[in-house]
This record gives sequence, C-alpha cells and structure tokens, in this order.
Amino acid sequence: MGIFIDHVEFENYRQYGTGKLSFNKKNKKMLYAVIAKNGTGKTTLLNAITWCLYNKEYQIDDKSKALPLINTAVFQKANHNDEITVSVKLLIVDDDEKKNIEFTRIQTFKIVKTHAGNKKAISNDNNFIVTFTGEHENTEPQYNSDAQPWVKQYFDEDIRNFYFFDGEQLKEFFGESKSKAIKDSIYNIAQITLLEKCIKRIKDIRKDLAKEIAKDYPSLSSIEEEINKKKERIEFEKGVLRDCENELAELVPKREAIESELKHYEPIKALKVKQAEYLGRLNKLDDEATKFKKDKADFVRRYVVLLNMYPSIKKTYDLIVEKEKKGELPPDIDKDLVLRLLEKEEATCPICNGKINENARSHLKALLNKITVSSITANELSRTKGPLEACLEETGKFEEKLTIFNKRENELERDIKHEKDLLQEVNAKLLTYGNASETFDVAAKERESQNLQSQINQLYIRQGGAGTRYRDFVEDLAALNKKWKDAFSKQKGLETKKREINLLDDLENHYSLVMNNIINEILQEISFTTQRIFDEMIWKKNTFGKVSINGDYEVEVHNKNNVLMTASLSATEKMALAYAFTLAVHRASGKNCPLVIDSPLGRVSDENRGNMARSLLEISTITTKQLIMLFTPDEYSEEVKVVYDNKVNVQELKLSMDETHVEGV
Amino acid sequence: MAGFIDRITYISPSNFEYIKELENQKVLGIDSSLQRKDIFFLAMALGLESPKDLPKQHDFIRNSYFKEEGEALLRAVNIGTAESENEIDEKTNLNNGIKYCEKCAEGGFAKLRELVAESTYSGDFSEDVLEKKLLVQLKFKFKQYFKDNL
Repeated sequence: MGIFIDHVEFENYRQYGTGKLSFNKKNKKMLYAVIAKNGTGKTTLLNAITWCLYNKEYQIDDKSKALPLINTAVFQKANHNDEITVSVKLLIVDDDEKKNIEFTRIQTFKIVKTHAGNKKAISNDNNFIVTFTGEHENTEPQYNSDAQPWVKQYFDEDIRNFYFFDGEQLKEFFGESKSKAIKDSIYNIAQITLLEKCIKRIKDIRKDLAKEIAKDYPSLSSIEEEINKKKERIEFEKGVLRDCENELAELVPKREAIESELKHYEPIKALKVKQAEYLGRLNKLDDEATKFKKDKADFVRRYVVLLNMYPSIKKTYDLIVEKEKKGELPPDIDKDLVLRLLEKEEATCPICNGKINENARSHLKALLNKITVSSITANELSRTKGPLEACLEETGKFEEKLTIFNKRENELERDIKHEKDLLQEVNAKLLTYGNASETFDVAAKERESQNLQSQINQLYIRQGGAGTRYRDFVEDLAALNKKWKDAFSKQKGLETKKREINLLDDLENHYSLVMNNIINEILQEISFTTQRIFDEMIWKKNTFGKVSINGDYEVEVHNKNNVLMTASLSATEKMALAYAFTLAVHRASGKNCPLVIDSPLGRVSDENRGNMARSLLEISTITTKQLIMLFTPDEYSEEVKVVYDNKVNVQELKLSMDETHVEGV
Repeated sequence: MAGFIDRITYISPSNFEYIKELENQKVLGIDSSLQRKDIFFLAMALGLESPKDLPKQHDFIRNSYFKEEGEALLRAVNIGTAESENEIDEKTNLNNGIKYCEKCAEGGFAKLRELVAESTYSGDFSEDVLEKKLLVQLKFKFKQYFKDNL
C-alpha cells in the first residue's frame, strides 16, 4: 500500500513533446528502471515533475541559457500569433485513501516576432489544476491557490529533495549547508506549524495584557519597555542569523562546485592537492593556536590566584604544620567541652560522673592553655592541609610551566608562518596560472573561489557574533520577564489579571514542551529508521556502529568503537546513508510516497553497484515503495542487469533522429 | 561552630553585569563555560589587599560549589589576616569568613576593571597586553617568594 506515480503525460513539453510515460503497477513490480543516454531526457523528466507540481525546474542551472518549455519541433513549425499550450499531467494513485489525484500544469504561449524578425514565445497564462477521482465519486477540480495545499500534502516543496533528486548530488547530501534542509524537513514532518502559531498567538495576547496592566503601574511600565526593546534586538539578531544562513546556503555549494571543477582539471591537480594539504595543516594549526590561547589564558588566571594568594596559603599551611607538630592535629581533646566544664561551678566529669574538684579544674585550665583551637577548627584545618599543599606545589611549578608555554607559542608561530608561506606560494601560482590556448580559465576560477571563501569566512564571523548576542539577549529577556513577574506579583489587587497572566504563561510553556517532545520523537524515529535501513543496505557488517542525528541536525555515523566516522565514508557509503535517511524521512512523514532518482548509482563504484542495486530492489519490494530510477546505459551495468533481470520494469528512452523528441513515450 | 553552611555567596549587581562584558571579550579565558567559582577566586585574589564593601548584593554562587580546594583557599584568605593564635577559631569558620572573601572579590573586580582599561586601545581590548602585564607581575612575585628567600 502507498502512493504511486501512475503516469506522466506531456503536451508540447521540451523533448518529450506530446506523449505519456507510464509507471502503472499492474505487474506488482515496484522498481522502474528508465534507461536513457545523457541528453535524452532523464533530468528533463525530473524537471517536468517539479515544473508540474511547483512551477519550477530545479535541475536547470542557468534558466536564462535554457531552451524554452515548448518542444523545439512544435516551436519551429509555429507561425506568428499562434497560441501553443504546454502542459504536464502527473497522475498519482493513493492506495491508502483509495483515490487518484491528477496534478496538471498548463502554460500557454503566444508566438511573436522580434525586432530582428525572429520568432519568440511569450508566456501567457499559467494554471495549476488538481482533480480527484475516488472509488465512488469524482470531486470538483481545484484551481491554482486552492490546488496548492494538495501538493503540500503529497510532495511538500520544502522537502522536495527527499522525493525527486539527483544521485550525482548525493555526495553533497550531508555537507554543512544541508543541515538546515534536514532541520526544515524534520520540522515539516512533525507538522508543528499549528503549535508554533498557537504559541505565537498566546505570546501576542500576553503582550497586550501586559501592556494594558503596565499603563496603570509605572514600575511595570519601565520593565515592559526594556522587555520590548530586548525583544526587538532578539528579532534583529534572528534576522541576521537567518540572512547568514541563507547566504551561506547559497555561497558554500557555489564555492564547492568551483572547487570541484578546479580539482578535477588535470593540469593543476597537483597544485590543488598541495593547496588542500597546506590549508588542512594551517587549519589544524589554527585550531591548535586557538586551544593554546585558551590554555594560556587559563594558566595566567590560575597563577594570578595562586601567586597572589601565596602568602596567605603559606601562612595557613605553616600554621597547620606547626599545630600538627604540637600534637593538636588531628584533635584528641574537645576544647569546647573543657570550656563548658570550667564554666560551671559544680560540673561532673562526663566520663566517670565524679565531681570536678579544684584539682581537676586546675588540670583542665592547664589543658586549655595547651589547646589553642577547638576540635571543629582542628578538624577543618586538618581537611585544609592537603589542598593547600597541592596549591603550594603547583605554585612552585610556575616558572617551569611558563617556559613550556613560551616554547610552544614560538613553535606554533613558526609553524603557522611556514604553512602560510607555502600556501601563499601555491595560491600565487594558481592565481596567475595562464595559458592562452586553454579554454578553462584557472586564474579566474581560483580568484572566484578565494573571494567566495573570504565572503564565507566573513559570514561565519558575522554569524558567530550574532549568535552570541542572540543568546545573551535571550538570557537577558528571561531575567527581565522574571523581574516583571516578581514586580507584578507584588502589586496589590489585580487578582484576575494575575490569574490570566499565569494561565497564559502556563499555556505557552506547555505548548513549547509538547512541540519539543514531538520534534524529539520524530528525530528519534528518523535516526532509528536511518540506522536500520543503512545497516540493511551496507554490506560491511563489522565496521559501522550507531547512526544518529545530532543537535545540529547533522547525520552522523560512528564505528563499532563509537568513534565518529561520517567524514571517512566512501562515496558509496555516503550514498547508502543518503538513501537510508531519505527513506527514513519518507517513513516518518506517514506517507509512502514514490522516490524518483536521477543517476541512482552514478557515484557507486563498479564492485558495489550490484550490492546497492540489490538493496534498493529489496527496499522497494519489502516496503512496497515505488522507486523510479533514471539510469544511463553505462550505469545500468552488467552487475545491475543481473540483479534486476525480470524483477523490475525496464523502459528505454531514445532521442528521435532529428533530436526533437523522445522516442519510447 | 558548625561546618560551612550551604548558602549563597554574593557579589555586587554591577559586577554581575560586568562579568557579561568579561565573557564577551573573553578576558583571561572567561566565558560562559567557566565555573563561577573560578571567576570569584580570580577577583578575590586580585583584591586581597584592597577589600571593599558590597553596595548591594547579587546571588552569585552556592557555597557547596566551592568544593575542597575552594574552601581551603577561602579559609587561607581569612587565616592570612589573623594577627594572633586567638583569632584562628574565628578565622577558620567560613560562615563568617565568606563575607571578608566577598569584600576581597569586590575590590578585585575594581582592580580587574583597571587592568582591562589599561589593556584597551581605541575601544579594542587586547588579551595579549593584559596577559603580558600580568605575567610581569607574576614573575616578580614568583622571584620574591621562591628565589629571593632562598
């Protein structure tokens, strides 16, 4: 049971022209292998689906350089003033709800003449329609904004990367810019929007109520003013953080793409390897320098305490040693008891019960002169000796430790300078690299990459500053709210208002608690399922341990000894992890939606292709999940053919002789 | 006399605010992860010779967090001021003695403000300058205590 794409129907759409591509599940096979050469239309199929659902073709890098939506042959035949309709229909079957849903996007174009006398297609209307056919009845079609909620229900655009994706990009799946997408997807699946709205509404009501109360109470009014200012600053910093996150999400992949091009360009491969090596060592040294700075600050702070306190520590320690020598420590006589016995005229001995006579009194007086401290003091002093002794010993090592710090500081400075010089040298070579006969402009790309890196670094600094301020302001706000509440509770009367404020506070706290619990549950469920699927998919059974999602929404893999090893995963293992996580997200969403993957095994090495192909087949069979996989003929290798023979639906697509449309549709 | 009662150790509200500035500038490694007792000891050690009354009190740390070494240092501060053997009982009792430690810390925060101001140029605080300045003083003290007396 689940949700299946039954077919995709095209009208004048790019190279698919007019036709239908069926994926119906009559033969119970849930895995579809569409095989097509590069440029035939695999990626265009993904684009057709996302265009239909979201009005966007996500797999086109530069839209200004892309061909128009209209099929080339149709466009060529069209005359001026002709109207051409382009449409894509996506029919899905929801077995659980027993209904078929048809998503249709229609775009009309008018053909006009340009000043140069050429033809141009001007887009007119764009309409989106959703129609349902149930077991017993058909419903009214929904148009445009009314139709959009249905897309959200089945293929939410915010997490589209978990339904339709490019296997070639999977290696980037767990990069630093992706944790935001993972966090968004978890929030999205948890469907906590409603709770978020409730919390916001409660806050607004409370704010209005507090404002109303503050009108009559000047002491509350001034705190209220401070609270509002603090809230404004928090919102401002939140905005900065959001901007940074968005800019980073754009710049980081952009730089990664340029770096990938540069690294794979044969003539400079060696230089790029060296650059990465120096940069890696420099980063490591920078980390060491940061840690060293912290250690040195701790050292100085500690010795400010020890050396400033040295006279007091020494005096106290000497006193204790002296008392030990005198036999007063540890205490064997209770000074307070002796004092109490001497205070009373007719005291009795606590041991023999006999009267304390004059003789005994003079003996006690002599004892008192010998004991200078009470037994409690003596006990405290005994306990104090050990820590003070350790402090004195540590103080004596100041010079020795300082020498070690100074030596390390000099070494770090020297090593950093050395690596910087090497890096500068290799950077200079790359930035001035030129060869008129070559089409690939290394220097320009390197410049762009370095510029992007410096922008990224600036953003990280900005993000760090805003993050610190944000946390401080949130802390200040909590203190101000407490201050307001304390002041408010001290006001006489206002009992109803007090009850209302308390109720609103309780509601906000409880809603927040529920929201966090839901998120944590979803997070745990996704972690658990990712682990299970990853274990099933991976053929190395003795290497991997726990798979989890950390507090920063990063997917992490540990080895059997619980050592983090996400960064050491091979391309194939990363792909398996990405599949496992994607399928876990599907499962957590509660809907068994199809998965369309372009180049599903593109990053998998030959020897592992068979294993990965088998794992995907098993998953689709066991979970009755429809997998539509778009292969190149090379990717659909012998190893894959052996596994998929007669077990999957195979469809081949070819371009027509005149390359204007896809055959096999 | 009883043991060290678990109550609160105070600093003044203005110094409580000042600690946030120290954390922001990471003065002497002070950040939000540093235990409050370590900040208190730093201030107390700097203010041993210039104790000051607290104008107002702000909760800072529970005494139970001082632990063994902390209590030993607090006790040493008080015993260090004892002029005769008769005062030892009183000076060992931290329930009274903590007040004097709070005063030392108050004086120490004033000293720290001076040191930070002296290490700030055109509004920019330099940790390097502050550390160098303190290290000169520490080297002098070390020589005085461990070498001159030999």
